[in-house]
Amino acid sequence: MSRRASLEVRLARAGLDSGRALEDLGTAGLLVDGDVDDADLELLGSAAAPADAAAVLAALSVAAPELLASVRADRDWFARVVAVAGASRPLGELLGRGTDAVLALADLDPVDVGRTAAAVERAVLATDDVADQAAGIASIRRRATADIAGRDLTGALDVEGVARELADLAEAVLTGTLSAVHRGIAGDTPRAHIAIIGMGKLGGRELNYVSDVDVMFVHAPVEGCAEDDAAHEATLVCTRLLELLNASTTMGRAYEVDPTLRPEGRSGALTRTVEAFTAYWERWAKTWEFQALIKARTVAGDRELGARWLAAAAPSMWPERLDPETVAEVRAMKARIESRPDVLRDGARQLKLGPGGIRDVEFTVQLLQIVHGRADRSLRETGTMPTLAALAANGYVDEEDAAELGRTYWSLRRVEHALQLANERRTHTVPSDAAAQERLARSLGYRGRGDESAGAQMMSDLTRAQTRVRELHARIFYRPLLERYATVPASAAGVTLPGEVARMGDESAAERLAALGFRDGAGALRSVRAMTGGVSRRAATVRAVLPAVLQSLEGGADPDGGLMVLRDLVEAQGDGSLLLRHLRDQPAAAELLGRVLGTSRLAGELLISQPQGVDWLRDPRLRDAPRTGEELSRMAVARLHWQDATAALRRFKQLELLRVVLRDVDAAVPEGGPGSGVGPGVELTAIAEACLVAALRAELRQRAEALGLASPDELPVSMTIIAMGTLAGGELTYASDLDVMFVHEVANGADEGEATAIALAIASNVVTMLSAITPDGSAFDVDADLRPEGRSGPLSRSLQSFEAYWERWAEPWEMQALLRVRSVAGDRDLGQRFERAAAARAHGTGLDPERRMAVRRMKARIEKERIPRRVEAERHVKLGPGGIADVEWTIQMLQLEHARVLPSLRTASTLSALDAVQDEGLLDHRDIAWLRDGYRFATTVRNRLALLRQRETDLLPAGERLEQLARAMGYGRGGRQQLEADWFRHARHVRRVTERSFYGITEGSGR
Amino acid sequence: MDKQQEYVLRTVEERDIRFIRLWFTDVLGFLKSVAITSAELENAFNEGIGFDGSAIDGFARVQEADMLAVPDASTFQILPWRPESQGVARMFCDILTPDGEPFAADPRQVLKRQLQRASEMGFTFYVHPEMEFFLFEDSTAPVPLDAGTYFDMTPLDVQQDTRRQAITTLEQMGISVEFSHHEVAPSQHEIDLRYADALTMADNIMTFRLVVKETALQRGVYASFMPKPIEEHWGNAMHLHLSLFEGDTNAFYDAGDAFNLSPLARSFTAGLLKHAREIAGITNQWVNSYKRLTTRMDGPFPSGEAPVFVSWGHSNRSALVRIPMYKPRKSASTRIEYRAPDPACNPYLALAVILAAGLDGIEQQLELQPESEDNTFTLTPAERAANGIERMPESLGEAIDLMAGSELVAETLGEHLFRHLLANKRREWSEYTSHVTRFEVERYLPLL
Repeated sequence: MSRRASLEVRLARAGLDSGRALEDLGTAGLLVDGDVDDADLELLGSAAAPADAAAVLAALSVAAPELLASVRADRDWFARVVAVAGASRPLGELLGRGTDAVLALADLDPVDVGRTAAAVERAVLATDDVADQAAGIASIRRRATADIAGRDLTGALDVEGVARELADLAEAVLTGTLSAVHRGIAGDTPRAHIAIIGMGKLGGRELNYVSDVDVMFVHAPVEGCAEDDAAHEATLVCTRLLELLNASTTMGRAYEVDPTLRPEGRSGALTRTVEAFTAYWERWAKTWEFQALIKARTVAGDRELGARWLAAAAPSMWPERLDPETVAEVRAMKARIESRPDVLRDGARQLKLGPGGIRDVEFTVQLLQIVHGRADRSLRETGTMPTLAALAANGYVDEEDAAELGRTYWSLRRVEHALQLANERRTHTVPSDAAAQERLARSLGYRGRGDESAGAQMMSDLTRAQTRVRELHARIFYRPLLERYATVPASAAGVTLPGEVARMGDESAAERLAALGFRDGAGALRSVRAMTGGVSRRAATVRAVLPAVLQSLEGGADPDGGLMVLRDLVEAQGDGSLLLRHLRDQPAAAELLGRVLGTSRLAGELLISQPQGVDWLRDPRLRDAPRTGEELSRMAVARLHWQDATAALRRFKQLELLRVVLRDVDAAVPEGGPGSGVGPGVELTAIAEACLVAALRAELRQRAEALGLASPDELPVSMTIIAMGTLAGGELTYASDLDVMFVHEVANGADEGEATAIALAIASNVVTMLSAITPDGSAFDVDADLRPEGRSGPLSRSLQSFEAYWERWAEPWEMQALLRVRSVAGDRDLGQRFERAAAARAHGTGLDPERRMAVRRMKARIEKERIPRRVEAERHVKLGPGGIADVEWTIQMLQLEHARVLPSLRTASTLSALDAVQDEGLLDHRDIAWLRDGYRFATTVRNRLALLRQRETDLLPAGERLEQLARAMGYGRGGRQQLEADWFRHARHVRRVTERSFYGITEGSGR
Repeated sequence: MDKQQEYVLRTVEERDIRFIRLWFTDVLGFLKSVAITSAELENAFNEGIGFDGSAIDGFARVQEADMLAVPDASTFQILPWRPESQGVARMFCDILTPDGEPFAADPRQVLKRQLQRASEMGFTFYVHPEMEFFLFEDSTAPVPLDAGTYFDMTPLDVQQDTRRQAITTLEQMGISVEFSHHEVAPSQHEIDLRYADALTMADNIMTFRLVVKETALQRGVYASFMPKPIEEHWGNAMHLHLSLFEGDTNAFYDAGDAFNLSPLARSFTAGLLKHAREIAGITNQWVNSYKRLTTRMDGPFPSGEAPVFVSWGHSNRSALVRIPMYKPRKSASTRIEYRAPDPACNPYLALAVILAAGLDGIEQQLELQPESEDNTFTLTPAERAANGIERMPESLGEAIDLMAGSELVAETLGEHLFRHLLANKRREWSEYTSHVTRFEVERYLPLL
């Protein structure tokens, strides 16, 4: 009994569940007298998934018992079989069938291209049945893959070797298949020479376990044969080769061979002559096609023909003059791939295309290769790593940086390999669920340590690697620039410099900056020099942090402007700068700063005026949790103990605003595309409310003190502030005024005239306190003009006075404005009574035809009169056709009509009202989506214009400023046309709903 | 500078070309031309030629008027009707914004965008048009040259010569002609162009219209593509034969189908029929276009063959989409014929919306309504309603309203061009509605 228990414990320690495993171990003959050998158990336990390995051994013992016996006799062989069986389900299944695959794992010999090719050729020639031929090839390929995996997983082969052998294997399979197929079709009298050119990772000799095998076919007529005949034969051969290799068979599939990198892609001829290629390159090819050629090499078929092809390609690959547009196009292409929704969704789990991923390394290396490889032939390597080594050897990149980039690259590739091996699927995304992560980590050799699971260790290593890639990218590009402008040259300080630095003059430095996205390269260079020149500690620190900041500025809306603000910021912060220390110690902060400055001039100004806000750059926890309204009010009120309440509230507002701005800029582009996010409305509203609460409190207190009263409660009047419009709706923008009304109530028995005078003075002081412009700027523009009689009416009224006015004088639009009121500060009870009275006016009456017409006429008049004549109405995102006002009025019309009977519609928030309209089924779903999307888009436009510090935030700008806005909203390079098109689409949609629902115009009736 | 451009530069020098016309097209399909000297050509290739976009209908707004025209070297042709030495050549241009991005509202770009979409779905779009036009004495009145005077040999000679010369010129410019003949109406002619991919074909149609007009001018007559110049005769159509290819295979062909039409072709056709009404504002863009698409069944001048109802059929001359008879062993020529467009449309935009409509049908996997075997004209309104057969818009005004509500047209044209075109067409329609016609004067003045 105790013996049995101890076996269970030992099994559990090895990661095996006793029930199922015992059965498998029994079948496999590993269970002797009810016990398992310790060494066997340890071996099984070392597999990524021990249970899977046990199951494979069981299957093998059924299929080929003698084979299993010989495997077990050889400890290393056994270890390889177990490792593969535990790491890869499909390959394990292959091993379980007890075929040649197990034998392939017997020795440590690397893939032999010649022998493997010959085996493939024999397999194809052995049968006429196409399905059998394909299965034969697939079986050889998968067997060899299992062999490579066995040596990979047991440490006999390093990751670089794995990639190389996988490429050799593909080369062998292509060679054997081509030769057999060609012979099968042409017999002994071929009319065409054929060569297969390997592209991409195959060309670079750094293949993945499951890669697309990118190829191009080239042919030439055999001497004395007609060109047409040769082309015909070559096309037949290549077509058949693709059929064989891409076929799904009982043995799986050989490869996914992809010939679409060829000229004209899918619609182009499958194979061409060297001359046809040359003609195409000279006339039609796009930049990225040449970029792809850099990795090309001959992998199968006629080597002499391949060499001729490569020689012909060289002039196109390495043009004498590098067009600056080329670099820009390469960058734009990368940006497009990275902004694909699936890549954005998987984020850092996307090993290849995510931030700091494999593609980033390849891109860094290739960009330098494109720039320098024209002049320096030694850089013309096909593989990423050989190229990197050549760049380092020739002084283009610092040796240490290069070595580290290489190590990091291979560490990412290792994870990618393990990931693909698990299910033999072409994936680059680390799974999100913990169990799958754990298994993956185990196959990479991680083991749980204390509380930390293997998966968690792997993920944190991964994050470190990705961060490092981004840092290295920045260093490699910018370091030469910075070193050059240090007053004490690095060489004098005994530091070796990359050769690049010594060679770079002002002009080429400026060019490099321009290639990296700065419009005014020379100007940017001046800013860089001003910040980094000199021997001060500050200059030295700036040199250390600048690469990361510049890199994220690169992609921003206004890199040049951002760099200038950075320069001001560095100067304003002085020598003992907290900012620079943070940036140096926190690479993420440097990156965020770059992004912030590139997107928002406002944020730069706020950072200069609010130095303590720098803390928020450093610590995401400090800035990320939104503060509640209550919290903010408490903070604002606490500041009143300062001497100067006016200044205190300004600083409070600026600081909290900075926090909101940072978070807003830091947020990723929402899933629905630029402009589809919720935005900072709720938080901005909370800050505004806190300021109103505090300002009113300060005034009440001061008034009480002046009158010698013990507390504001003893004042002969109580007051409340009523928010209107967007403030009431919680939908403020950065540029919004605060629309308010003041209500007061004279205390019982107090002198009416005296009390009213006090109320008026308080209201007026509150407005001044927040609105007045002081050296600290202003807090908010408080606007009380919506009150009865507007500017000529008293600033504060009693509730009775409001009621009397509404009863007798109020215009229809004033009733409509009462749809959006909310008491936000002061006497709560008075505020609630006001809200109820207002609601009775706004919702209680319903909508008769006369009133409906009045509302429509009012809106039409606003459209005609309130949009300035000098602007194009179509670009006015607030009042123009399809603008914010269209959404608001359409919703308000529905509220006026239905809120009397549908209480859910009684809300001050436009978007909440829209939800209610949807729930009540008052508009169809498409119309609601159009209104919501349009409203959000227009709001985002206004907010981002404000962040860019544009004075006019209601108008879609033109030209350069439109491009800046596009970048600030998250569009890619040249996004202004797309932004404009998006705006006009939203506007058209909103306008259609408005015309139908608000104006009652029947569609298609013509106007 | 690529090889194609170098070839152009060399040719210009060898053939002593003095001027090069850079062609592009405005929103309504009018050919615009900027002439540059051969000395400026290299610069045009490298940097493009700047011009004031606000001067062109449908292009930029005034504040960002700068545009670049960059010649497409693959469209280089010497204009054959110009002198042999010190000659003139032309190239079509792509329009770019000052920062080098393709200008979204360039009609050629609109078509390219749609072709790109097709290509991403794996398709190439092929088109062959039947171009119809009239030859008149001049542009002041539509007086036929052979009206009732069959024995009057001289004007007929002029017509035959004009047609023959136009065809020769087209062939010299690399535009192949399938065949040509005298049309049903007096003085009306048809020239069919050999099929080509849609972008080439749109360029060819632009060239065709110019060549025919130039040639007529040289012969002392006037060529017109006006959709319906003479009330009592048939109008000018531009029937379009359409097919999609996947690589070398005609994706419209299916040996097993009754009409040899693949499911893909059926979905494409269904999409075209679904959107036919809303794209009419593009395929038939003038007030006069709708005088061609009439149903006048009685009275002195029946409407003839113009498609008025949204239907399809394989040998039905009244159908909007006709399936030409399949010829054995000619799977490559399987196609559908769209019969609404007239030759006065903007070919870039027309082909773009037609393709978009068809691709929408493919993407939505729309089912094709049953074939109309009857002449739709002879059906009663109730019969048509019962068969789900809609009517094409009766006027430009109706077409504009249908187009204004069309997401498909807005997306295909892009918002900029869409807005501009709607505004332009609304202006035209409002001018027309306030015009007092001869019809009104002749009918009402004696009575009222």
